[in-house]
Amino acid sequence: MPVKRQIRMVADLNKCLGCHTCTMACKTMWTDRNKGQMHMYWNNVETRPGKGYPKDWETQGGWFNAQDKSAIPLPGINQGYGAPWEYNYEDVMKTKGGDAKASVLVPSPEHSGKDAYASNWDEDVGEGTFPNTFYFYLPRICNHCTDPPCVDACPRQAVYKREEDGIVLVEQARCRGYRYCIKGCPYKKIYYNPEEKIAQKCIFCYPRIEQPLGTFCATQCVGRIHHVGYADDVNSGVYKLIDKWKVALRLHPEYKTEPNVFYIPPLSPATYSPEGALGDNQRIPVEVLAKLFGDTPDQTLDQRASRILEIFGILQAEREKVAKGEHSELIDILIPHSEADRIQV
Amino acid sequence: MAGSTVAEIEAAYVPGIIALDPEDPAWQNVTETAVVFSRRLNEVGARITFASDENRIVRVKAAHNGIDVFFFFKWIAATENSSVDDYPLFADAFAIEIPLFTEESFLWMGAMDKPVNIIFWRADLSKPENIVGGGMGTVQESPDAASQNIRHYQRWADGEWRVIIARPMSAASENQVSFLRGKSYRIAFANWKGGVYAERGGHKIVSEWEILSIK
Repeated sequence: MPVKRQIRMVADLNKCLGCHTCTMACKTMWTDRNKGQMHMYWNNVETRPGKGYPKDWETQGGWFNAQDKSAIPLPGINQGYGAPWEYNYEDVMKTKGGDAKASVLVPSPEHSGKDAYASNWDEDVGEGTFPNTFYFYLPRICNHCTDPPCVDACPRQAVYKREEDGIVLVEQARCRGYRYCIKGCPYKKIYYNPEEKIAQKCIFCYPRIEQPLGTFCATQCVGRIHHVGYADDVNSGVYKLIDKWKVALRLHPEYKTEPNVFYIPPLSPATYSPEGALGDNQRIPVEVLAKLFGDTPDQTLDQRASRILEIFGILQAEREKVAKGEHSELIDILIPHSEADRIQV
Repeated sequence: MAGSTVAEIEAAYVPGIIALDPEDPAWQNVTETAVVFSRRLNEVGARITFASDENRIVRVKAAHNGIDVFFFFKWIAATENSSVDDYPLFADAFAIEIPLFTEESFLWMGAMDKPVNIIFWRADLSKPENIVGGGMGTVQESPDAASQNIRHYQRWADGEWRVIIARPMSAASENQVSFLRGKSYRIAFANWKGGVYAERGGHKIVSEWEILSIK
């Protein structure tokens, strides 16, 4: 059923500093209810290039490309998402007497071996050769897709897209834990709660949106990277960034789900030559970004790369205008002073 | 072969206490019926396809003591799949389906005007669920606490599941069938292999409508 309105988010990756405050805000708000949620990060921040969370999610496929849908793998909690661990805070901080010998924080269970993994396990590893090493951060929530494969995958219509704002939800009482939605989602943004034996996912903070308030990941963000608003609100930041200035792209549009979380691709410092002189290329190769971001499913990687360079050109031109003391609507949007500048719900 | 013979299962009258135990003497003189499950459903997500290239046999005994009714099922299962504790894990399951207030209904989870009462056992659950269904994709654990009164025994050993399901004969609410002595009911069964087969939901094998007579 077509929705009446669609809520959208734009994340400006130029401002993401990888602090994980969004992840922790989401975690404490929604997924610390029981043991079955401990491995879940409805919002996660992953270092790119990297394996992501769950591990290698981009190679697992989904409803859009699987010849044999039953063959789509389901990641295991320990190997795929990472075994949830606790630290010996009480011993080291001596908050309850503690252990006088304990001076170092150690995780329990101990994480080691080839199967050890966790959300952001490869933090800041990145790629490239010194001095031209590079990485950037990619915060991810459910994309609340316009054509959500999780909805199509559920034989019980337990997963649905809200008519009033396009938020995709799992009706908890109807879910019987078949996990087809997890297979269907190529972004692997639906989780399985083994305690409650049902699927759970990012709810785009719908009780906050109804207030109306921004999603908690967005309002808590230290870098103020998010813009939240409705696709049909021509005065909203999301509309202006996506449709007017056309500087925001979709993550993996080739998955054909029309995600409603958009990203402004990250600029990066210039490369160094072997002699130490600054070169013309940006540190993050545009090909790396083109593999992630684009506008539509049918664009080639070259077309995506051209679009990203076009966006960089727009951003740089508008920055220069402001540097010269001129006004730029785009830069005004990207440097929000208040929450109301970023959240129009 | 689908629909060849209707199995007739007799719930024998055995006065006195019947324990939730395959070794209970009550079972000694109860006739065992081999029910052939041959309606194979393959489901991937919301798509269901029908196939009939597989038969599974489940041996069924039924008994009652005038107060409670007992169903005793045995089937071959190479491995025990009792956990759903991780994303890739699926558990073995079994279900009984009986039309809730009509004599007959639609085999595939009933219909809106002819709902079915289902007792669903899965190896990981603390107790079987009482369910009402009104068609495919509609089954729901009945919300009243009174109807969640099903007791069970389960044990997997030597490549075989043995499951006993027991329930008061009188319905605890409108979400349950009452079993009356001298009456016959249509009854169907479903079986799911968990583990690597990952059978769940509509991905299962079911019997025809068989007949259950309460003696």
